[in-house]
Amino acid sequence: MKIKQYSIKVFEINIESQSSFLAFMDKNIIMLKHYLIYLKGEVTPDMEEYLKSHDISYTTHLNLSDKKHQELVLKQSDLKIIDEIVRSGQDIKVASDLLILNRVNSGAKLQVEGNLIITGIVDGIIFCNGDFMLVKTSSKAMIVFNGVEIDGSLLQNKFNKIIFNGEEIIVSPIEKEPKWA
Amino acid sequence: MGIVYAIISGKGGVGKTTTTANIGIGIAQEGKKVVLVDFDLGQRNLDLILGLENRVIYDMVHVMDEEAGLKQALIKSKHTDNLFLLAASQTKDKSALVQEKVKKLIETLKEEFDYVILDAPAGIESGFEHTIMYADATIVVVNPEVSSIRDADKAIGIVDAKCERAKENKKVQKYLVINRINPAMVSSGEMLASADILDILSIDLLGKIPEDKGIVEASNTGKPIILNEKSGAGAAYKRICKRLCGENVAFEDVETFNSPSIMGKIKGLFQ
Repeated sequence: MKIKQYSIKVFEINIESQSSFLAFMDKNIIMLKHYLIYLKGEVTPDMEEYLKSHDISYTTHLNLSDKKHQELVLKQSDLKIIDEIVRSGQDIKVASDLLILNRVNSGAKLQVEGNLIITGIVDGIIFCNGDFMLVKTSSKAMIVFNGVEIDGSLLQNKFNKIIFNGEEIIVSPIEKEPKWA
Repeated sequence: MGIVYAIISGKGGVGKTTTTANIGIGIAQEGKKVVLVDFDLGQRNLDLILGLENRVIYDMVHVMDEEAGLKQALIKSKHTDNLFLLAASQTKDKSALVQEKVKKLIETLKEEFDYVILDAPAGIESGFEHTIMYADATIVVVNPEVSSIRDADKAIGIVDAKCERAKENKKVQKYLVINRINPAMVSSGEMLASADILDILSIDLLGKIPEDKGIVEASNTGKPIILNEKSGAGAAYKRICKRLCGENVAFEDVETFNSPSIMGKIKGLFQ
């Protein structure tokens, strides 16, 4: 006889309705895929089909009475991250905050409703309506922050903090070059 | 199975076709079997640069429409036995390209040749898209000037979006050739430096070609510059071909301007 031991994490889900269950699974499938799901309540054939098609391990019988549990905290970040160079001709519209870990080339356009940080050099056009922006631009760039075009000579070749406090826009250069990993 | 390279630039007139011809000859001289396909339908040029203008009877559209066999349409180069040209149609335009037929043609060529090199038309229209669609890798040719860089940037973006390999989530390798570098102008800051171009485009450097007056004559006489042993541009193309064949060749400095030294001038007096 051969016995193996595994330590696994179990997610206990109280099913309220099929639709809410499927919506929850769809949203969190990437995380839940790797764990065992303990289902309480009625498991409909549609739900079984869904779990099978996503290759998820689940059970309906499990005794966890003497185990401690944690409440599941689901955090949804509103930050969009772009880890690629933004090339000429690209037109990116983002309703949330945006972090770009590369350069924005001449001929590219960004329209951001939230805050914006770009770690590369900006040669393109930026429209940002957030409260905060951190950018380094070349003389070719055009930066419009909350409807106001910011004079390029203020920004050139340095990282700049640009803050909108509801009344005025404050541009302050960062003297020490940030070291992005 | 061969590898398919598309030679692109975005902007016209930067030296795509010249680069295609020289790379074709160079790789063939390394002993590989190469076919060059001119995708610039309606504006056929590659045959001229290779000195084969009077030998074109059937072109790639004839082959795709099965009006001629591939063997009939392939034109052997005068300069090396390993190099063949499949010419563009001079009478038909870009609308003659149909995706399925292009795919079939490229797959057939891949079986026959080690290197299939496609000369893309300038611009980013349908002809360009057909050229990059089935490429395994692209060679981006630029001149050290801002308009060329921006157009190349856009073309690279389209490769990443439209190429079949990119759609299958495979990497499409992109190599940069900086053409027509004028050392005196780079030194004086009138021309963009290679480091800045690489920074903007963020792709791998394949080679730098210095400006060479011999290129015009080479094109006019149908003898690509790589055949000229004395040419700096020819030597640069040779290094590129070795790199494409997997050799590790160091990058030479073609950007530092060497004004003739006093000793050189004195020596010149006695010659």
